[in-house]
Amino acid sequence: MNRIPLVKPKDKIRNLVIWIVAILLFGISASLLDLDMGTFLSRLGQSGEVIRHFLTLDISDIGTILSELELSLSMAVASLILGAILSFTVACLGADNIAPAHFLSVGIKAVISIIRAIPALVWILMIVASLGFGPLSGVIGMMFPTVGYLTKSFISSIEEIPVQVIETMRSTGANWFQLIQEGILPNVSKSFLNWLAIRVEGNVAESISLGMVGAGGIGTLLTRAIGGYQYGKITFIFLVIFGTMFTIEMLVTRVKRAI
Amino acid sequence: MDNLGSIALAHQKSLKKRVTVALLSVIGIYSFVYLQVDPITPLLTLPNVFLFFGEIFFPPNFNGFSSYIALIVQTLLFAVVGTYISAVLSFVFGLLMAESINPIAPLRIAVRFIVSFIRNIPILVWASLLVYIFGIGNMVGLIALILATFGFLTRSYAEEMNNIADSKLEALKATGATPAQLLVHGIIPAFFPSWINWTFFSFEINIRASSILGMVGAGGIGIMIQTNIRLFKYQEAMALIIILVILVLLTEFCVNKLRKWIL
Repeated sequence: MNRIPLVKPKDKIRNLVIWIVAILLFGISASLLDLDMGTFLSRLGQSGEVIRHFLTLDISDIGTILSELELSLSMAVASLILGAILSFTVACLGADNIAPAHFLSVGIKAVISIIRAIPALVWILMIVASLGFGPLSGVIGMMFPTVGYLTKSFISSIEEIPVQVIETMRSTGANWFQLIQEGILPNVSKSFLNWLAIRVEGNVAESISLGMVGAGGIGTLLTRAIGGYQYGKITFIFLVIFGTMFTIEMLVTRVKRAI
Repeated sequence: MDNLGSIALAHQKSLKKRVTVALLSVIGIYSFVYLQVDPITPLLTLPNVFLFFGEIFFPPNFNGFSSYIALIVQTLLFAVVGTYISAVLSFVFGLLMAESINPIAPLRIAVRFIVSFIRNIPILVWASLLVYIFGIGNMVGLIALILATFGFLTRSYAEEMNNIADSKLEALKATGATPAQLLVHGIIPAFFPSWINWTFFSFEINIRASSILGMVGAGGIGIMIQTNIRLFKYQEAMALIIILVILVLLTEFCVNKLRKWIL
């Protein structure tokens, strides 16, 4: 019986080549990395012991932990609000279809892609180095990644607006501010809210991590607990972080539905 | 009568909206009050920040460039290996999590819970816990990297699989295809383009993340940025940050080219 092949022989060879290249790339990269499997495996054997330690819960510090959590969340919210305002302004100047000048749009996009290329934690380290510790540097440090993300997303939403809308507005003699208020905002408010919603989770995660490089908040407590071998506390803070992130994810979905 | 009902419904909806907006504003105002920062100060401080920043971080000092090359290569290697492993793991877990593919509900829910647990813990928190349990080493860094993209990759894969699954798989099932045939001829070909897209996206994330991972002692560029800032060698740190920026932008560029070439 003659079987009809599902894959053409030529494609079969091409697929085989792609697979071989892919596997080789992995093999070479992994061997170049020189992973310390031996140490890891021996540690893995002992990890049961360590993990058993973690099965305790120490909630004696609940007051401090919750107030530091409040600090983390406040920094996340404050930087989100300021970042959103700044991003909206910059996005209106940077979206090519409504920008006052073309070079402005090109310049803004270049700056934004550089801001985005620097990880949030590096931003925070740099701002803390320039301003010192405190909530103000936390808020400013987190504004950079927020502005990077939101401006890029806002610009892409604004640039999706059909040309006709903007042309019509312009032909009626609307000035730039009227154009944004009447032509742009109604069209993009929904997608802007979506971007903001995505960013809420990101900002909270970042503000928690912030503490781990010493900028305050619940992350600092976690680092301190790990440094002091306080297993029960580590577990508790870990659970609080998980609970917070989970609640925020649920709340964001509900708020999005309500608005 | 019907008309009245819909008006009442619209009214209810707008009331709900108004209450939500009011609550959100309260949260916003409360955060500024709690931080004792007024909203204008951070914006007014920005020019000062730039001034200060320019003073201590510039000009960048590229004297140690030859020793940075190893760090760059290491960052790239971490990203490659991490992306591979999380792509394979996420594919398997995505299959287990997609409603239209995995018929066993308890297993699906269990997988969904594990994935959401992993995704909801910030990567640095994972990394520091892993360092605590297993000690410093590049294996730990790799695991943290995998965890960083595993959550979102699995969720995206599962959603894509659900999207393709229904119509196509029904047709294949009707021809009497076995589960293995379903996977090879039904799911994988239809899933391939979005799989490439998401995996490349996770590679970009991994480049950024592997530079962060250095901060928990796993290697890569991040550890040197952190060390230099701690030692007040800001100009060396700036050189590394510039290298990181170029690395990330180049990766983005190459990945976009590659994506267009494959798809």
